[in-house]
Amino acid sequence: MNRADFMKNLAELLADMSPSEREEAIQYYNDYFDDAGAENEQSVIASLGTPQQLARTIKAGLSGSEMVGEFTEKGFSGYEQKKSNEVLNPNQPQPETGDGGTWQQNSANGTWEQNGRAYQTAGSGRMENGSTGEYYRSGNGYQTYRDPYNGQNTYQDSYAGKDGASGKDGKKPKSAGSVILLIILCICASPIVLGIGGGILGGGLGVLGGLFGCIVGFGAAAVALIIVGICLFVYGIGLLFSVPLGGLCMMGAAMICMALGLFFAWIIVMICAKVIPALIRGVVRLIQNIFHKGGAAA
Amino acid sequence: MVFNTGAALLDAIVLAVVSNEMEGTYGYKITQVVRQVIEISESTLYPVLRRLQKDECLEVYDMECAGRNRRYYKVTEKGRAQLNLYISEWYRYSAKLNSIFEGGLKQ
Repeated sequence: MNRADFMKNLAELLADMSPSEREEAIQYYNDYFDDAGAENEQSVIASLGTPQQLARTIKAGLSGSEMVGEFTEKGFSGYEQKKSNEVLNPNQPQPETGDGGTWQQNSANGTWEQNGRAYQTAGSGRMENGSTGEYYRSGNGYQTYRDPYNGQNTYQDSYAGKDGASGKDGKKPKSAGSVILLIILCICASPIVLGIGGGILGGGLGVLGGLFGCIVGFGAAAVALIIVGICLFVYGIGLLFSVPLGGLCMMGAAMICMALGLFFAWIIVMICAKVIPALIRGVVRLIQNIFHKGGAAA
Repeated sequence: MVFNTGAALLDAIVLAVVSNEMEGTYGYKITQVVRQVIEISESTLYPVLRRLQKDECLEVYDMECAGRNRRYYKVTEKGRAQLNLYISEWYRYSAKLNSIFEGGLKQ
């Protein structure tokens, strides 16, 4: 069997599903073959099982209720079922538990055992067939499964409401009317928004310019003071021989000059290392806040 | 593999794999990554992905790739919240198991 046959077969087997679900599944597996590449076609087909098995898996996973079961090294086996549902498909080897105890499969004779009780697996024993990955569901789904977690999660709520109020968290798609309204609102608000935006932009640029000026100014001061200091120091050394006291004073003044120069250099370093990053962080936070508020309002 | 992977854990694994890709990822790749970690058949993941999508934990979008449309999956806000819940539950659970394995948990 090649890919085309496989997909054609699968499409026929999914004919009784809703068209949208069928399309979804077909697209998924077409993608899957495409992504696996032509060279892996046969191995993909082999690992997907027969089209019949795959169709059963797809339908079983989508028929409304949630699956309850476990993946084992032998594939997915749905043997955990806490509330007895008597509507089991007799063709499926699905044992039931009344109390959610542990199940063990006795591989020697194909029975399921729980707390001493044994259940014969009806049917062909698909569970032992590792490659197919069958699973079975209970009618009652996730809620049952999540019971041990004391219902503290949001998942439960969402699943409970899935047959009716799916739009309860306000995620319904916007109608065309509200979209148009939004666009008109945007156009009307644009002068104000542009004005405020321009103001903010101008203010930001002003602050940046100011900072730049500070850096240049302090930089020039630092360089000048250090150069003057060095010159005075050299001159002071020369003076030391003729007028010792004057020379010492000169050298002291030179050191004060250099200290001031170093102080200005330190200011520049502080501006670059502390003020600018803080400023950027502040601006980013401001923008984030604006966008978050906008998102909440929309 | 000695241990079984329950439905919730599989949901958690799939959500984690998808959320590790900022731009989203696609079915084949998800399957390959999950199969590096646990042994599942290639047909297992479609129902899981579809269900997570229906529960609004995953969203899908199509993107042009090599001349065809490929369907990408991406974690939603809700899916991320669900994943965080799963992860914290997992840490709680595995910490308990670890402590009992190491003989630290008495009574």
